[in-house]
Amino acid sequence: MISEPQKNRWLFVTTRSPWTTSSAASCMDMVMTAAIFDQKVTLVFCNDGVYQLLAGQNGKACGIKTLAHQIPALELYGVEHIYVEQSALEERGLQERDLIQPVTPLPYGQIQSLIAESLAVFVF
Amino acid sequence: MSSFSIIVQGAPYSSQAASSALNFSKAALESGHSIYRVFFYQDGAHNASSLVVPPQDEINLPKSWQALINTHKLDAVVCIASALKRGIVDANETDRYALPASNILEGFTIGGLGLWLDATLNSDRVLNFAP
Repeated sequence: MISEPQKNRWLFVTTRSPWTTSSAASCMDMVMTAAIFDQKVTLVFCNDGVYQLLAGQNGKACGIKTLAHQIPALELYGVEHIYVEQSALEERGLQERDLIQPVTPLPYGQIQSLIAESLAVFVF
Repeated sequence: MSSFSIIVQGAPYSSQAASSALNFSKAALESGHSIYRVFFYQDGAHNASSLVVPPQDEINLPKSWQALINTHKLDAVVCIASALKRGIVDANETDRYALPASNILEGFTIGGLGLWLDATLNSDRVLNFAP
């Protein structure tokens, strides 16, 4: 599942829902910046961060940009390694069909390995 | 000895993040390590305000940062997007947006996320202090 050595990659772990704080948006800004400057980036959605992946979100009613709209663009920026914490989906009653796009689920242990092996880790 | 960069994401007084970042930075410098850059991101931008007035029996965090920055000639950068959104501006931005005043503490500069990226590439360790 983790297809190439992680040691040169920057890992971003995003753990908060998209609407309660600016944490998710600020993580996305850093992910985009790292990718634009040609860094190899891995992004993992954990805990309430999995809500960022839900399809059908629209922030218009509360005057906030819809972060979920940026997720399909990540691949264009070169962010090809995107994972979701499998148990976080299950705990929230979410399935792959609820998500804006297919994302590879990872068990907790593999996320621990990603953290251990990455060049830099940023947790939001 | 290591070179550190510090990301500060917490506003002063709202969480322990800014205070912990300051204390870590002091301890690192006192132990002979160096700090490549301090990068103030999101609510951390408020640490650069010259208008913060805490009660007399509380530490003035922005001024404490400023003292550390000036004493050790640290590179202290406030993310421009974070700063502008929160009303932290220098003279250039005051001119650019025709604002009535500027309020950034001397010693801090305003810059882009590219400087965070540069810090990550050029430091031995990056520590992220978030609320």
